[in-house]
Amino acid sequence: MTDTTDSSESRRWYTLDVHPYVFFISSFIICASVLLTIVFHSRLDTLFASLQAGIANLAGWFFVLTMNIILVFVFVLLFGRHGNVRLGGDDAKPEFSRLAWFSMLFSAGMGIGLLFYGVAEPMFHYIASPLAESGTPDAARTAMDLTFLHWGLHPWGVYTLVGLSLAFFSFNKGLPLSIRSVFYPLLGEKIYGPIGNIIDILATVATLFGVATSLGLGVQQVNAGIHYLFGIEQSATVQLLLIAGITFLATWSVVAGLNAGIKRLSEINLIMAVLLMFFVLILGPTLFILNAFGENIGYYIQNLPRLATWNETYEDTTWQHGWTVFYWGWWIAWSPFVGMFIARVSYGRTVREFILGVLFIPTLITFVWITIFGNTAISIELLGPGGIAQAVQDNLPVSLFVLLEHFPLAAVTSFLSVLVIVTFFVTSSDSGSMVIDIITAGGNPDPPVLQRLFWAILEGVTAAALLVGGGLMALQTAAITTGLPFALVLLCMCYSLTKGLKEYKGPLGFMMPPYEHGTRLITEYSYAAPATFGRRKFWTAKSRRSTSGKKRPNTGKQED
Amino acid sequence: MLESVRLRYEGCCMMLMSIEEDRGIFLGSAFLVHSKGYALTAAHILPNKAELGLVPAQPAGSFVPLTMEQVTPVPVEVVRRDTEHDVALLKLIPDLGIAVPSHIMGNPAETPLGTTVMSMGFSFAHYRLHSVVSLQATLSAKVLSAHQAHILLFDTPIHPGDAGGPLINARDERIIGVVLGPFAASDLVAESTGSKPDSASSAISQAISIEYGIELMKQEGLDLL
Repeated sequence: MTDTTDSSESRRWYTLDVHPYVFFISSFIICASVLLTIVFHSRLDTLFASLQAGIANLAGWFFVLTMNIILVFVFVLLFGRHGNVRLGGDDAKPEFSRLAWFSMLFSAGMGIGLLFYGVAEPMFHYIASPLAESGTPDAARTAMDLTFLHWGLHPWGVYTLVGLSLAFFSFNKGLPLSIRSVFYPLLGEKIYGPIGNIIDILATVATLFGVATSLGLGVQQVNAGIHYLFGIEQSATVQLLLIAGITFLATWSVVAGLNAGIKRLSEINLIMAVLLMFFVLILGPTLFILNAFGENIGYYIQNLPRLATWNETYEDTTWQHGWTVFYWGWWIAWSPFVGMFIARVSYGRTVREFILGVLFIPTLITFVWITIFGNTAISIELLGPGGIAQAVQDNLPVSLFVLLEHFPLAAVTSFLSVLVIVTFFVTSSDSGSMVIDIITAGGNPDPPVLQRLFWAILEGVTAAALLVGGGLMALQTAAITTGLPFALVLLCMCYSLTKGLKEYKGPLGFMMPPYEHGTRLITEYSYAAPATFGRRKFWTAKSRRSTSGKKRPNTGKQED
Repeated sequence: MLESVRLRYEGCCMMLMSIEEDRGIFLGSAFLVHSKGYALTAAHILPNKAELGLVPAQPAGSFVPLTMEQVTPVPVEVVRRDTEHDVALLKLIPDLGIAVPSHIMGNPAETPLGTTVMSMGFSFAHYRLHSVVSLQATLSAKVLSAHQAHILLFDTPIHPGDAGGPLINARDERIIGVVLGPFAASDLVAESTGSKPDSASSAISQAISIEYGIELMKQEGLDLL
């Protein structure tokens, strides 16, 4: 049902299946914004930067509160009575194996940032700690804790909420696989009208800009990395070539379909990432990492309520604006995209399985990753020769490679890192295109090939245009500012999902169609003395047969 | 927990009526068990020879009229009857395309005592109150009768119209028995000695294990989902 091999007569390559408003208005807004940004990018840069700063200043508390409400909500659902509801109905079978499922969740959800920030973020907090004296072991412990907070249960809680809502309303309630469907319990049939179109257009535009700007900014980092490793020049030409290559791979993957392309790439991606982790674990400070793993998780759990609700109220500082609040806005802005993709690949899981799979497994993989890379960096800084913190501040993209140079086989691990970076890019990019394809096809989970081509290429073109013309930062900031309105949307989603689950009767309730052919009868009082025992004799033993243990019921075809 | 049991199962409850000329005489409850149009009920409520029909309840969820003045029963025939265990399998004669969810049959042997159960039936349909009434109880005892029949006792008094309805394990939302009627300990004595002692009315009711209903379905060649 997912790949393109089902090219029946009605599904030729040039078939189009577009939602007339969403598809064309989104395309228009995207092209117009790119042009406007290229022309006015210096002015827009400051405009969006000050907008983002204003949001962080005034609405930081709201982000913190929302993230916690969502996490608690997801925990309540996990233990609640709807845990057994199966997405797609009682008879639905999961479309992907567990491994494939986890790979796709992880590859779409975290992606490239983890590679750079796994090393860099603990370093930043270590040398400028908001909660401890910088550069001390205490600062190191707090640094890991803060990184865990930003990459841990909270972002995955948001993805769980959005993914679960979309999957439930689409697979169990039969609504289109589209952001608008989540609001059915609140808006009813109005979701098919202008309000629904606006919601979907916003999600499409935000997703495309999110993915395209990440691609554009990311290739600059990749370029910096390969410049450091192989001495290849840092120029727009190289970066455009990188965009072209990544877009080509992503386009191939999207066109090949979920099963053939995206799934396989995600699996390769996860296997390579695990391989890289193993290399660093074995070649790096193994014992230090193993010691730290348990301690980091323990410290995270102990401090979760304190750190997750910390608002800098009494410190009166603005440290969180650039970190916690920024991350919360970022994850929320990405949640329509990641949630939609998670929903698409989670058909056939139960609600409980979904929450366990989306909330805990990726969080655990993330923690292992951050511990291995972050603690390796900390061990060099705290116990070794140092220099990583300086590298992070000087040139963030190369800090990973600087780290790897401290250990044997640096050439192998560096090369592997470049490969992982590229596959992470491709998997984020193809899942982003897939999501836009689905939304702009009016919720068709398996959109036609031509549309997949269109969006995958538009994504690359947008990234390339912004890279050359300028305005990547401006548009990325703009994409993140959508986090604020979407935080409100997420809170509505909690209510909507609760209402939907409560009213859910099961995919196939008992149903008897109306029967009009019979004779209409008049009902009558028919009180009869309740015949409690009738012809049965349960309690009197039959002399012969009752001793023979298990007895077959005496049943014969009844002949009236 | 209980709301979802009610939501899931109220659509399966049917009124069993005997069709006598232009009148429908309510006999008891029955419940759909298979999408090919099969329903289970208690055998003792079936008359020896009569034209039978099933009538679904009015759409639930809101206030509905007390009485359905007119009904259009779907004709049924009795295909299997196990009088010893008091269950019968009915088949709808017209092919209506009925939807029945999967995983509805439970396992009484593995249902712990004290489990919350729900029984459903048309408690007062003899008096023309044509609504599905649900009752909550705990599974009080699992008894092996002198005939080795598996009887389930539950602690809520039921009413004449409930006989033939399902008894549902509220925890896993599966049917574990067919409701038979009130449990009167004095009947036990009556059956063995022939003289019935004075009995206080019992707040305990009895149901027969669903395994005998499943057995009938297997004999009919129906596959259980």
